[in-house]
Amino acid sequence: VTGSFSVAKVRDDAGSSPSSVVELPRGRNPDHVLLREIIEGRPAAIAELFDRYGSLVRRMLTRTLGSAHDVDDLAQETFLTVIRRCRTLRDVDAFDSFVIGVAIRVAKNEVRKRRLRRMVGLDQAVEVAAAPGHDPIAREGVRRLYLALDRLDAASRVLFVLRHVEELELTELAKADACSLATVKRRLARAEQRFEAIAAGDPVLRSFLRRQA
Amino acid sequence: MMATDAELAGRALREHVPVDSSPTAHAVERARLVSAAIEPRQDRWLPVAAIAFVTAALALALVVWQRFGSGRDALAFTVGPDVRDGQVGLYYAATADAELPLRFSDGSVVLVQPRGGVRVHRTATREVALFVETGRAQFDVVHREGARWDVAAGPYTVNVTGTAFDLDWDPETRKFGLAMRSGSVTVRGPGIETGVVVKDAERFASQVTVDVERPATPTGAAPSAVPEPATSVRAPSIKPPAPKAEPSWAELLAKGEYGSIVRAAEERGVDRTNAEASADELRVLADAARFSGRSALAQRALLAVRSRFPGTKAATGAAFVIGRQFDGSGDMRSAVTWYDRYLAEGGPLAAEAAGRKMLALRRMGDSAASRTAAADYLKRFPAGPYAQQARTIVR
Repeated sequence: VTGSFSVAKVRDDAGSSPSSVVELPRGRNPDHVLLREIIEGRPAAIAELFDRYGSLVRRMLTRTLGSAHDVDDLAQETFLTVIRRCRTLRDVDAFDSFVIGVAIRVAKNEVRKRRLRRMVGLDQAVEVAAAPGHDPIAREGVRRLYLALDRLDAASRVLFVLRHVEELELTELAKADACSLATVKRRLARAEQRFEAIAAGDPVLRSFLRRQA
Repeated sequence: MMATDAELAGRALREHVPVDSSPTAHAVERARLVSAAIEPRQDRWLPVAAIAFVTAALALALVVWQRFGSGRDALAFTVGPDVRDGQVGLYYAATADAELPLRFSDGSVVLVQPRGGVRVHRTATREVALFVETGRAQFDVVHREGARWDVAAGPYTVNVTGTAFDLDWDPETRKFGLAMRSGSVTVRGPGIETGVVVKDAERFASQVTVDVERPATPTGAAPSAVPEPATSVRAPSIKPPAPKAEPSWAELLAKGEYGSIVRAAEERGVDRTNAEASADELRVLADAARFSGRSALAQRALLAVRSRFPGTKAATGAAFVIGRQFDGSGDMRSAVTWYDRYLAEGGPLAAEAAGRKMLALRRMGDSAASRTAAADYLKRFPAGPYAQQARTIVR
């Protein structure tokens, strides 16, 4: 909701109690102001933080993990970590990267946790998001795609998704993941090679990918 | 002449993995975050051994819980007079002439009034998140220690621990009303993130308005931008709301609202947008169009950046993106042309562009040119991301 509004609170016995009207327009703060207010624990700043980055973080997590299951909780974890750690941020201009970096770490940890849960039998199978509509080929294709991604290590998987699905720039990824550009490129090249090798061994996945061309 | 498997995978996931979150769900999660963030944290130093012990105990408890206990934890609910099992996520609508009861296993009851509709978003042991999609619903929430209900209607959320109240939400007029019958609740919404406590027999009324362009107000006339207050409100000192700009395209892009950007450009007219928008707006439009699968629209925006802002960083960057677009569509000859333009203009992604150009030449079947490009790549970027592929091509 982006519009302005008015809020009023009255008593049922309005005749004996004063009415009050509060007007609360919203605005967008510059990063340094937002950061300061988050550190001060101002609720409006926390809400603005969520408004700015909520969709991005949710999208990143959903596409990295392959399903919306627990994504709301993971997004909350991401933002609570951002709020807790933002006082350590030195470069205010790097706020975007800072938030993305925290989301990357949350996603990596979750990939590892889910893998561990499957190993000890708490989860049965790789969960995947349902493709919209009832296209069984797309559904199966997406499932196999995530099975392939599941064979990458957590860091490679997150990097692969952020680069190829979210189309983040390499420089942005390096900044967010706190490593050098060369490291990101090397890791990404390795992840791509591994993915292509896995895809080459799955004719259904290959056929699905060719449909995207 | 095709995109790589990795690029195709990216395309597939963008197209087929749903990531939508409704505005109401967004409001609920925002309120949840604010509540969690402003609760006082209990950071206490504990010896490492104690932390390890507690962690191990929790892990064991989690395993036991997952194995034996999880089935009976979440609150269950039934729907309707014939007591059917309710399902999380389904929309339940009352008919025009009868109430629809939702009865929860903790004894709480939600009575959806005629023509109203609700959706239970989430249930847990002591938590319920419920959306009032439209109309009125009466809530009788049983108080339990540590229990929490989050009721959302439009952009508003109501945090409940145990109380009785009636909630009205009209998505058409965006009017929100809450009448307490007992207990207290906290209402949050845009601009009232700190929450407004409503208790006893109080009523809370609010209306969201969205800014629209209005003709200029004649001098001396009363401002007409004041939103109509809820009928129960008498507000002698109400002031017009401060003007609020529409969200920028960059903000919409950051939120993943690509469709809104594309629609805005089309409503304004694509030619007019391309002729009048700033370089930044055009780049955002191009991104939004690409992410929505509107390649042609993206390319028109990028070409507009090239022609209207020659010699700028934006124009150079546009050359790279156009190259990638042709690359993705299998038109390698055009891709190479655009990568060459980008390289000639000296953009920061030179290693990327040179590598992609080399691969495009290989896909074209021009082995001599791809070898030359590979040798050139290794000379300029010996540790670049495409160095390994370049060595293979040179060999």
